[in-house]
Formats: sequence, C-alpha cells, structure tokens
Amino acid sequence: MRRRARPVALAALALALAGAGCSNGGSVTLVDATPECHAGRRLAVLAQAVPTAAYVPCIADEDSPWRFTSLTVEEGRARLSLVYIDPSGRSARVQLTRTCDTGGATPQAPVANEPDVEHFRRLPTLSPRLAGVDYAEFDGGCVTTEFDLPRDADASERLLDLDTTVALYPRTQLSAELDREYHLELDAPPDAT
Amino acid sequence: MPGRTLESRFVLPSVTRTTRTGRRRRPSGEAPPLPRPINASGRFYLSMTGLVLVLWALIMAFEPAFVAMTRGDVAVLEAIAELRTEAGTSVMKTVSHLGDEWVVRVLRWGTVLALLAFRRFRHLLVYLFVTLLVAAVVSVAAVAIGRMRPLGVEVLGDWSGYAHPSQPVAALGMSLIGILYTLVPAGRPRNLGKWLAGIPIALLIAARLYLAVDHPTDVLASLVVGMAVPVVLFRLFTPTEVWPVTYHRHGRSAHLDVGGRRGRAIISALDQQLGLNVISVEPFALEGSAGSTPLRIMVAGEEGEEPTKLFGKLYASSHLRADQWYKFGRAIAYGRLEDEGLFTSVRRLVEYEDYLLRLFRDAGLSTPEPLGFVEITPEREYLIVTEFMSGAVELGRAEVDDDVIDDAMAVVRRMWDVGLAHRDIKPANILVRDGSILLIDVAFATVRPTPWRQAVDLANMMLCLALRSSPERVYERALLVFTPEEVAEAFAATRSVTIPSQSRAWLRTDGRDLLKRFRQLAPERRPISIQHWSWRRFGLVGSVLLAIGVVISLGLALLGAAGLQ
Repeated sequence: MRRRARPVALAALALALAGAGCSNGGSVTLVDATPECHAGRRLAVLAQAVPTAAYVPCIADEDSPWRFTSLTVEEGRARLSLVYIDPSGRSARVQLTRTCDTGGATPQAPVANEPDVEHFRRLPTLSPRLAGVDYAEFDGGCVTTEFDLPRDADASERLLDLDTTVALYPRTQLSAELDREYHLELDAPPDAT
Repeated sequence: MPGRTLESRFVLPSVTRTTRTGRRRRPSGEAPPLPRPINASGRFYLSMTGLVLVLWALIMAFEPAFVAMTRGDVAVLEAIAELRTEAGTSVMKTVSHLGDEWVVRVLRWGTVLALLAFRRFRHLLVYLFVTLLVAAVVSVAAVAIGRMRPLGVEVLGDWSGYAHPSQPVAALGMSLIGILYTLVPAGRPRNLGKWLAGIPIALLIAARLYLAVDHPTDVLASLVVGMAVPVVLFRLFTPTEVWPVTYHRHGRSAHLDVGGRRGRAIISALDQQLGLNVISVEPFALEGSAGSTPLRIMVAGEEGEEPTKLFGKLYASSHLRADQWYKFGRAIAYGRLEDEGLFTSVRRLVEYEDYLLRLFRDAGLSTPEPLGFVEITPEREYLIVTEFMSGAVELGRAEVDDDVIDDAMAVVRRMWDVGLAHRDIKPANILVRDGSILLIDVAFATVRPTPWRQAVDLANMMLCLALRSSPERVYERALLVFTPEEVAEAFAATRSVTIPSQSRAWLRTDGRDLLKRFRQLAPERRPISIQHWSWRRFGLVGSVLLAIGVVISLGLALLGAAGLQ
C-alpha cells in the first residue's frame, strides 16, 4: 500500500506545484485558457466582468509573438497578461474597466471597424525603456493596454504586433452568438430585487 | 507418517501451555485482520470524485454537453430567482461572506497553529498537502473549463474568476474538513462536527445559488473536490487506527490504540496465525518503550489451568519511520554511528527481532522465548509475541547484589564472545529473576558488532548496575571477567549520545557523576571520538541544508495558493 501511495503523493504534489504556477499567473500553464475572438465561455466571463462595456478585449492572433499568459477576472475588472516570445523582459497588460482616466493622453487615429471607439496613448517613458499606456474608450467601458519594452530597434514593431494581437469584440455580436448557442441572454434583465 | 499428528510432528515452544484453537490459513483474496480503512463512505467519495472527473472531461471535450449542463443549471437558478425578495437578498448577501477569503484564512491559520501547539506534525503535513492539492485542483480545473458566471439570470453577489468549480465553497469545505480530521477526535465528536460543519457550507451554497453567483453544478463539483477528496486523503494518510486525534495521553504518542478494530484484529490474528485463544490484550509498561507498543496478552490455559500471560510488541510503519528519522538525525549530528543500519520495512524489523531472540537463546543468553509474530496489516503492522517474564523485575526495582552484578558482567562477556551487541542496554531492558539477568527488547541488537559498540554495551551495563549499587563495587566485580583496559575502553567510548535516554534521565536524578567515577577507577585512556566525517556525511548535510532552503522558498511561494496568505 505504501508503495502505491508514494506515486500518488508525488503526482499530487506535481499537480499542486503546477497548479500553483498556473494560479499565480506564471508562465507555467497546464491548459490553454486564451480568450480568443469568437463567442464562447471565456469571452462571456470577460463581458460579465463589466456588464456595461460595448466591447470586450480578446486575443485575435494566436500565432503572434505576444503570448497570452493569464486572465484575471472579477466583478468590475478583467485583466489579460501577455509576454513577448523572447525572454527579453517585454510584457503587456490589457485591462477592461468601466471607466479610465485619459487625461494628458494623446488622441490617436480611429481604427477601421471601430468607429465608436476613441483611442489615446500616453508615453511617459521613452528611454531607456519604451513604457506607456494605450486607451480604447467606448460606451460603458474602457480597455487600457500597458506596455513596457526595452528601447531598441524593434520596439515600435513589437508595439504594432501588440496592436494586432489584442482586438475588441463587440458585445452585441457576442450576445447574439451566445443567445444562438445557449438560448440564454448574456445580459439578463435586472431583477426586481 | 501414519498415526502421527501435526502436534506430535512439530514440537512447540515450551511456553505455549495454552489453549490452541488451531491455526487457519487466510485464503487468497481474503482481507487481512486489519485492512486499510477505505470503507463504504470512502468508496462513495471516490465514486463521486470519479463522476466529477468524467463530468469535467465531458464538458471540456464536448461543447453540447457544456451547453446542456449550463441550460439545466440556469433553469434551476431561474426557479430560485423567482423566490427572491428584498429582505432575502439582503440576508443572502450577508451570508455569502462565509466564503470570504479572510474567513478561510482565519480557519486555516487557526488549524495550523493548533496543530503546532498540539505537536501533531503528521496531521499538519497532511493538512498542508491536502490544502495545496485542493487549491491546485480547483485552480487548474477552473482555468481548463473556463466557465462563465450564470447567463440569463441577474448575478447579485460579488464574484471573481471562473465559476466552475466554486472556489469559495471548496475552500470553506476543505477548511472545515481539515479541522474535523486533524483536530476533532474520531467517533461521536467528529460525527457531531460533520453536522455542525454542514451548516455553514449549506448556508454558503444557498446564498451563492440565490444570488446566482454559481451554478448548481459548480457547487456540487466543489463539494466533491473540497470535501470528499480531503476525507479520502485524510483517511489514507492519517488513518485513525495509526494516527488517532486524542487529547488524553496514555504513555507516549508513539503508542497505538489497541482497542476497537485494531484490538479485534489482534485477537483474530493471534487466533488464526498462532492458534492462541486470546482472552484480553492490553497495553503494558508503556513508559519504558518508545519504539513500539508493548502489550500484555492473556491466553486461555489448558483445561483446568490458569490463563497464561504472554508479552507482545506491536510495530507499525509509524514506529519504523520514527526510527528512520532518529537514525537520520544521528547520522547528521555524528556521522554514521558505525553500525546503525536502517530497516526498510516493518516486516523486516519484526523478522529481525524474531531472529535475534532465537539467536540470543541459541547463544545461551536469557531472553524471552519467542512464539513468532503475526501480521495485522500487510507491510504496515506486525505483532511479535514472546513469553511473559513472570517473576522478573526490572533492574531499577531489583536488589542488586554481587551475584546479580556478576551475572550481568557474564552476560556482556558472553555477548562479546559470541559476537553480539544489544545496543539498547538500559534499566527497562534488563530484568532480574532469581538473581539472574534477562535481556529483553533485542530488536536493535546486532550480530558481529564493531568493538566500539561492544565497549558501549559494557559501559551501559555498568552504569545501570552502579545506579543500584556503587561504581566501586561494579568496577571491582567487572574485573573478574574483563581486563582494566577493556573497562577503560568502554568508558572512553561512552558519551551522552551513546547512553540510552532512560539511563541518562536516571543518572541526572541520581546526582552522582558515575561516568566520571568509572573513568577515574579505570586506567587512563583517551576518549574515542564518535564523530565520523565522510563524503557521505558531507553530502547528507549539504542535501539537508539545500532541502531546507527549497522547502522554505516553496512554502512561502505556496502559502498564497493554500489560502494562507
């Protein structure tokens, strides 16, 4: 019995350690939890975090050099963490909240297909690192993308990669697709109580 | 062999003038006397765990299964939502705080501190392990399944993370089960505790379903992961029969409870394996033994005769592990003390003691007559049975005259001559009967010992005798069978660590510095070092330091995962 219990204990310990890594949002993940840009349970929980938001951030390009590492979601906020594929310390954090403070940020050109989204950028640090925040403000919500990159020749290119990796998914589209699949509404009517 | 019975073909030990009930071979497939306790409820919990795993596999692999489960769940939640009232919502929001992190943290730290205070380290380790495991399983499953909060029903309560399995329910359930299985004694108190623990769990589940924070299947799965799985693990790693939770101490904590299932298993094993008609089994002289549970066994005598007393020593894997850790600690502190080998299993330990009892007797040394040993739980628990030394008294209570001292010296001399060392000579292991010395507890004796170990045996025997007489007298009698140089070697080899703890305690109480006095009486000899430095010891010390560092770092990193930070 003791001989049988040992492998079980070791396997459990391995699972515990792996799970701890997973739960801490580290780079060790046992499962792919990427919130891709199509209607599904992961995108639904993001949308539930900020029920007023007209858009939900999602990962549009799974082959991007920016890799999704973890998702933290709670009532009022959802956060996606990404790291660049090489180990040079490039990281980014995408956060959905109800509001954001764009004061002092520079307006950016609108993006095609997102006419009702206003874009801003704040770049407080240019050297020795390129660090800043992009804002996408829309009805009932805001997505902030914080980035921190070493200032070398390809920093701008990496920033462009980040732009194409993270996209905004319209809530109306998500709601319609969930309704079609589950026959359930994403945004339930407010209860009388 | 016509006309010969088995009884006449095989001669039994003389001590067994007891009623023999006829041995019975356990057929293949029949459970041992004390099987490991995964009983009916354990099997039920394991089945539930299996069901949850199947459910998880289904909803991850087949989207239609996930959709169907979600629609079913939401139908239930919609029915519950029909019952919502303003006052009810207010109450349920308050009740839902039972699942708050601070509640779980208080429960868990309270458990950890209580386990430390009661020095229940085995339970503590298992508790931390199970806590981490449950946290990890919940975390991995939640990310893998990625379930949203209920759709189609307004979610009224606070939430974070994925919905399935319900992390707050699993965390509270695990915390309460942990308290029950590490701090509450088994039986009535624990059964009552289970009902009490059910109240906050039921309230939390009711609140979370009312507020539509979780789906019904979220809380069901978390009940299995947070409560059923821990119950099975606690039963597996801290079975009550071996690691009982008690608050009244009989002897040392190493001693096993020989009542209940174990008591019945012992009687059954003695009947079936040694053919003894046992009347009673009770703990005996616990204070003198830390490495096993000593027992007095009453066996029905032959017709018209009084019952016979037998002596038993119950060994379990806990005793084996304690011995292994003890020797590991000594190897770190002193290097390998020449002949301290490790036993690899309880069976080996008992086999060895049985063999040594017979070897001592073959050498003409007085030790209890062995009757063999019985298996209680394969590879985990064995009971060795010997004659009960009736009429013998421990050296500590015996009158020690010259005859006794001479006999004791002759016993040591005989061990030297035949190549044996007892290795645990202390007052509790030396009995006196009719002026003769009897040695008991030979489990840790060794054959072909080192000269150093033989010398230590002599010194320990002389110290025991001097405690009941005087060092001068013992020294004088010792010189009848040992040379002054041999006695000098014995006390040059002796240190505090080589003297059994019982003897050390008695020496402290006695007040006389017997060791010093013996060294004065014997010819001068430089102390023999017991520190042995080797590459093995360097490696061992380095590995231990490294392991401590890793454990501390890992422990700090995992405290958060276990809900303790």
